[in-house]
Amino acid sequence: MNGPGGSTVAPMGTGGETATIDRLVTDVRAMRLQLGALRFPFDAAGAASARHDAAVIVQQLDDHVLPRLENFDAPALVVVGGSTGSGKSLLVSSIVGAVVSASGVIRPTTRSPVLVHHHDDEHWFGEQRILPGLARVRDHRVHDNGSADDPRRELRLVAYDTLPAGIALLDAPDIDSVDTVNRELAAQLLAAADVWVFVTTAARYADAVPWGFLESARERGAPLVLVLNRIPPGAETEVTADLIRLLERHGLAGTPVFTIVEQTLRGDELLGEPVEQLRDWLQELGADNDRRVETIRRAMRGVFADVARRCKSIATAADAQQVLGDGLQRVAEEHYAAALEAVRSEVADGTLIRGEVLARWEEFVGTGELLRQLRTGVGRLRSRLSGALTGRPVTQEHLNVAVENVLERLLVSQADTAAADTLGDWRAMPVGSAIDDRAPDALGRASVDLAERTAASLRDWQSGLISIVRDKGAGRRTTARVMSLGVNGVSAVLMMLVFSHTGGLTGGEVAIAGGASAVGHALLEALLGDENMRRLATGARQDLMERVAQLYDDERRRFEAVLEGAGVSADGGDTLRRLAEPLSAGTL
Amino acid sequence: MSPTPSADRLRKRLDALNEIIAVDADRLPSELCERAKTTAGNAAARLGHGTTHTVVALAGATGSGKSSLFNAITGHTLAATGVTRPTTSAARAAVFGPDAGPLLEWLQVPTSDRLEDPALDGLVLLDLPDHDSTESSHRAEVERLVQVVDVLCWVVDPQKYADAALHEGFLERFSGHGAVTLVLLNQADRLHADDVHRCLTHLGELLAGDGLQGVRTMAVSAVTGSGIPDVRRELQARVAERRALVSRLDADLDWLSGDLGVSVGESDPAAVAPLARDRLVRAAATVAGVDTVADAVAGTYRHRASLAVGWPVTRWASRLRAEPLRRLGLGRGSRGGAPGQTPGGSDDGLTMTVPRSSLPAPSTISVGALASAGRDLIEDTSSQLPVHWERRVRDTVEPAMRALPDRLDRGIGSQQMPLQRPRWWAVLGTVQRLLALAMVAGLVWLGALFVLKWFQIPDPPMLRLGQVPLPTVLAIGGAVLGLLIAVVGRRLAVVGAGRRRERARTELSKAIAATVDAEVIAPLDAELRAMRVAQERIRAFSR
Repeated sequence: MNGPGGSTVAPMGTGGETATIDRLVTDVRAMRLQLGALRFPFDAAGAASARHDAAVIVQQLDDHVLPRLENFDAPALVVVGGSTGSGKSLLVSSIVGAVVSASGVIRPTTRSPVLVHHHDDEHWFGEQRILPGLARVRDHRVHDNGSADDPRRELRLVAYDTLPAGIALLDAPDIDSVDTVNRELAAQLLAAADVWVFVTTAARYADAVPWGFLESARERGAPLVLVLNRIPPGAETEVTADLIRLLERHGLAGTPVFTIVEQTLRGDELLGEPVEQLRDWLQELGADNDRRVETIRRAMRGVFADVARRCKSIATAADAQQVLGDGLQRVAEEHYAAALEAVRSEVADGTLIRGEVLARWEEFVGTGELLRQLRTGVGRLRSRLSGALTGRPVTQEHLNVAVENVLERLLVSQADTAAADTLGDWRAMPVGSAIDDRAPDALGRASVDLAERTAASLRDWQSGLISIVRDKGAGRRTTARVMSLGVNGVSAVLMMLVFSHTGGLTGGEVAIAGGASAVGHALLEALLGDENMRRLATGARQDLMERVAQLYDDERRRFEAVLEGAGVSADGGDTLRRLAEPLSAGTL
Repeated sequence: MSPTPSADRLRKRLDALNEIIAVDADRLPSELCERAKTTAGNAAARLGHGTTHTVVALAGATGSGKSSLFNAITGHTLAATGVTRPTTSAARAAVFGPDAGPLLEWLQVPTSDRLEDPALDGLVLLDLPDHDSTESSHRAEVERLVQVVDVLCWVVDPQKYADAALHEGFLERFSGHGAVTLVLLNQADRLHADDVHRCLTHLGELLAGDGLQGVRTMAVSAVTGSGIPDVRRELQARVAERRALVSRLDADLDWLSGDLGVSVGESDPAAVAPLARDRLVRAAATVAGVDTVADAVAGTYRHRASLAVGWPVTRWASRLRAEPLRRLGLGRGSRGGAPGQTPGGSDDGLTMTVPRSSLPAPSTISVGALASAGRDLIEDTSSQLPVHWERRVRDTVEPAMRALPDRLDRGIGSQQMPLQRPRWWAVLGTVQRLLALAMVAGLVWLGALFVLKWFQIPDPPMLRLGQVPLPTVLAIGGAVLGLLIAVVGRRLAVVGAGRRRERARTELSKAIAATVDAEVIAPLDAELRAMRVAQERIRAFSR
């Protein structure tokens, strides 16, 4: 069928078309997965609507688009939706010519949707193809309503041959009663409709809620029929004119409107003459296969255009989420980088060797004596030192513990500051409050076990120094000398050098660290040679800083875990835009 | 109308609420505070208009027949009714009995009619616009008026009685206002008699679900007039009682007080625990450099002691070195003259004259430890508090913590150091001077003897101390005793310095503790106390 200026694809699948459709199905599935994976945790502009839209589109693709793409010849799903008390059930029963859905005065009347179809179409609706999330029951008895407290709803299937093949009528629950499940279900069913029959009443037609739905029908270009029910006798012209005025104002001019005057009915009496026109309209749609398929195709093109358009704004919202997430991430990175830098400069400028460490170092070697020894030559120095270094393991242990303590305190306090600053900044950011609910209790502090992990890592580092000394010294002239002093002693001296050997101490720091530095420097230079010593000290410091960086990475990861928990994916928006491309290209 | 006990009670509650708003506004979540202000303002304004009138509003969905019912109750065709929706776009009033001009002005309802009906004397009946049409201005008008009218009379109809817009939009929010709520099921003529009953029963169930148990519901028909006399009787009773206004405001206050009660949390804000304070003081002492200063005090004491009681011959060497305290910028500004010998003799201790010390910058570790102690303090005191109070504790402590290092430095600077000159310095100093004098005298004497001998002038008679000549005794004895006393003096000075180091440490720690208390603990405790008082006040109001 050649639509005027529209798609040129024939209704019955040719080989080429099948391939096109197959590709489209694949594309839509990929897009659906991406939509389902997107998260919008931050309260930024457009987040709430994007969250809602994404969920709605996913549902719509599952319920309607994907099943429909597989078979354009399947019956058209005509959903009768509208306000509570507007007479939807009576309308459906009247069209079918039998009571298929209970009507009554208790609102909301219909809770479980009823789907009426021709016997020949049974296979199509019996399987979980369209609306796969709804359980089916086949039951001709008209039920009392399910309980409002029971959120599980079933789709009741009824076969009636008074309805033409190719058409299925669905009596949907209301869109505006206190029953939340009803409202959600109605929205879901209307989204899955090929044709909307929207029912309103003379008392309702200016309500805000129905116009919200009509707005969305306009946006997706759904084939729409309006039924204005329960018009007070005599007011038909006036009310209809007012409704048509409203339709025009909402951009829905030209929508077919069927009017039904308020009737007094007895018992199970159905509407007769007033629904004739509507019934004829449906009969026609069912009878003409080509017209029906074209209607469905047009509806599908509308859905695609609408989905593609909404995906664009969802993608924009996803971009915004990513920007916000990146901003939060950057804040964490900056604070932990600052903490690492603070540790690096403390380690490098020698200020760590104040107090306890210096005292232990002096205890270890005895600064004054050692300096005097240095002036008299390495030979005598060696004999002095080997006694000092190898013979006093207890004081060396003291030195190691002192270094470990001071480093541990530095690392933990810096990590504590970084954590507090990060959380503080996050809280101060406009989206930070979204994070607050997800943040575990002690996020704003260093981890409880950080001190323990730091101590372990530092002990590793210290024992690592020993093996460095052993390895670097091996096979060289220096081995004998180093060995004569004891590897442990040399590694202790090397450790001190890490904290003081900057190649340029200035001012007060020389006074503080100078003694230790000069001693260590002269000693190691004598033992290992200048270049070797420099390399060893640099390597040892690098090793230390890598360990600190590792510890801080772990600390920062707690913040990243919170962000990951919020579920913002990288490039979510771009991926969605790319995947939605085939839809807006209008390949159908 | 004389004030009833319940009106008195209402006024007392309003006073309590106003006190909360005046004193504790900052301690309420801002949104709740706004609500409290609005409620108190509305209540005061409404009470100001007296209880002569009872304002009853007919509210409901478009098409439910509010205007028709309005006409039916008043017995006059005042409001326009129609078949196109929405019909009524502005509220209008029907006033029975005395003039209600100011009241209507306050309600911002400009359109009104004066009616005479002795039965309904005092009634002000309002016909409101709808709350559910596409005209959002109508909804805003309804939102405004339902906050201030005395009786809420919701008009529903068989089509719309279960709408979410009504139940979720309004009735659930006004669930505490059951005493001043009426629900009229209009258009009852469109239902069969037994359906009317079923419908009313279901409506009652829905209302119960909204939290409005036992609210009066009535089936009426503006078209046939059925039920209208009942409605009039009901209104008549409410107007005659003149209690609706107070009940309404009471319900407003109940609703507010519930939320206020929740906002102050379950647990009481406890004062700062001594343990948390001590931790902070210790960390502050490290940052302030208490040990460094105490060591400098000891060093200064030794330095001055050596100037006072050292061996005069070598004393000049000490003078070349600066006092340790002065090096830290804690000495006096004056440079001339030896310390301890400043004219005026007022140099008993050191008083800071410059505001900042030049103590070495505290180590990164100690600064970090202080910050951590501050965070511990926040955590300890606020972990059990409601979120907005937790934030308030943070906002109190964090700026104080940022300012603390500077304050500590000033605190150290203005501290009196325990450097009084002990009496034994003067005694030993005098002895040293005498010994030095003796030594010099002996040396001069010996020198004179040497000169006489060199010129071959015969010796004058020699004074002797035992076998030893006196000048020799003076010279050697003065030198030896002087050195001995210098050594003893140094020993004593070391002991004294140690004692003064401890005293300095104690006093500095006390000063640090005082600074920490004044800068951090006191403001925090004051805030916590204010929270406790606010909590008491709000809980009393909520009871």
